[in-house]
Amino acid sequence: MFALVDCNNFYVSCERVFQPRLANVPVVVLSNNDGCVVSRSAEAKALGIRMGVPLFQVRPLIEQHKVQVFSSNYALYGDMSYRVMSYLASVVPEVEIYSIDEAFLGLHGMERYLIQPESFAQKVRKQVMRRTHIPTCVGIAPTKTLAKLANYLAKKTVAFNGVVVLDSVERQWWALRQVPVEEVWGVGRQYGQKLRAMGLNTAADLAGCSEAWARKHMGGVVGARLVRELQGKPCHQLHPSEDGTLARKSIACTRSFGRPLSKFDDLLGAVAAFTSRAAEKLRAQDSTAYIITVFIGQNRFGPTPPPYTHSAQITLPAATNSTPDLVRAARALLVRLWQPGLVYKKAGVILDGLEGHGQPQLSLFEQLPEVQRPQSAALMRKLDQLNSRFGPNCVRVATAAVAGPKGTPAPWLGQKRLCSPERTTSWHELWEIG
Amino acid sequence: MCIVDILDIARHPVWLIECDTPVPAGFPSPADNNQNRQRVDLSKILLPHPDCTYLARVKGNSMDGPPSHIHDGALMAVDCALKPQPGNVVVAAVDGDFTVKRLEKRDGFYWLVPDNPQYEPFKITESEQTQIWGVVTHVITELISGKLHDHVRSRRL
Repeated sequence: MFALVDCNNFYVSCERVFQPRLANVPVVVLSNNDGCVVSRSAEAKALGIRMGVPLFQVRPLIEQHKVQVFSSNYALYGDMSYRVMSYLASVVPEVEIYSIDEAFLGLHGMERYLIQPESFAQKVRKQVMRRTHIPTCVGIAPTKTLAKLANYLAKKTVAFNGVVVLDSVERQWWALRQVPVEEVWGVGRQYGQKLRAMGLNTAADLAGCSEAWARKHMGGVVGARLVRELQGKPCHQLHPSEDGTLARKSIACTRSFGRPLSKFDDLLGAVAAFTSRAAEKLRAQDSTAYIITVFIGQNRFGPTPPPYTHSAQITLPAATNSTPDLVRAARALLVRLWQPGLVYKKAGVILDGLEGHGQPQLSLFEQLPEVQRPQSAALMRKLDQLNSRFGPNCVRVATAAVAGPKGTPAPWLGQKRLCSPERTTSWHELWEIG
Repeated sequence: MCIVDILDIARHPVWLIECDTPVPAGFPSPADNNQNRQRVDLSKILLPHPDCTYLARVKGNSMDGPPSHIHDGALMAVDCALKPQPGNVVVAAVDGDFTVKRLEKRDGFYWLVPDNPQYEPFKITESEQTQIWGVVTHVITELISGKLHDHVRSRRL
């Protein structure tokens, strides 16, 4: 059995932890640069504010209903997430942290102890609420895909009191009939449309398909596994991480700019800064990458016709995690993409083809990077040490335009005018009572 | 003409004293015999449950009196793992605002009692939205003008 624990409207819930005045009023949290709505309280959802909608489109609604608006405060959300996950890791033998606000719990071997999974789940919800003041929902089922589905139903229907357990075949089929096919974990919008066109509207319709059919129509073995999981046969194992951080299969750093940029140097500053950040994340999980993608985007709501984004990709001769190497590649890609006279609103860097450190795919024509530049790994280690000791971006590549501890803010940096204080992670902004 | 003298060799081992520390001259440091190099760790006492303890700064003087003597600007550890008991100093959310008070039970009702006699106790009734948020376990005050005094910032909200 697996349990999926998921925090309700996580960013909004984090804001509410230290601001009880926000209980029962509509609240939304905005993406970087206060661009779009990324988290909504139940009251805000009821007003019809859609997920991902740009702020300017819902401004009249917000003013009319006095919706409380916040910039995203990632320091706070990260700390609260860590507190939730630490508790979850203390109640079961294995946890897979799936994202900032959800985790799979492995309940294997706990069946005798968990005579009633329902009450176990309620205990977990109660404890998370007490310790972190974050509301959660729990779905319990024999496979990860069904646990995800159970969690979806627990969130949707108030009467279930935040917990849905699918421990019998009858209950599983009942649940499958309740869920639209595009809401199944791993189906997505594109496949959802395709399946609906074939007359498969619910998860139950999909679970009734044969494995051979899924193999043919749903991307081979991936589709076959998806259908088997829906039928209650587990195909996906838990991937617990040793140090509590999830090793990712790709790492991205994308931001919208605080103001539109068109000069090449300004864009290079942004792209180099994002690459440096992505490289830091890469080293933090001790991986290397050999595919780098850069994209730059124009304003979707501006006068220029589509396409709004242009991207380019390069495959490096050997996987690396060194910031200078990656920045050099990103710069070459940006030269290809940038056009004079256009106004850009957004850029991003994505690293793919991740390999564990020390298991490199060797190149036929090139020596290993560590043979070519034996000092590089040591340099990067020192760089990370310095930045963790003296603050982020204290030492950086010169092209990266970042807001260091000293100096002017970078041209791409956004305004976070509506940010709540970092109440748990900063002495200067500590929580105050009274 | 060379004369070779064959000397007797002592056949029992000679015990030497091994010193862990470089010895310029003299004896090893007597402190080295004490293998226990741990320092006293304050945070172990103050934060038994670090994942559900929150630090907060107090504003105002409603608790500035016996027995708790929580001064304006003091730093508190608020533990959410503990069950609030009558007699505990607690952080409570009353009508959308946080307050620090002593929780007491009198004739069947719970009260939030300020330790400063200039303030009035507050009876918890069903009508207001009152929620006990956590239990104050420790209070840290600073008797010099040190680092704890620098961290009050003006709110932008």
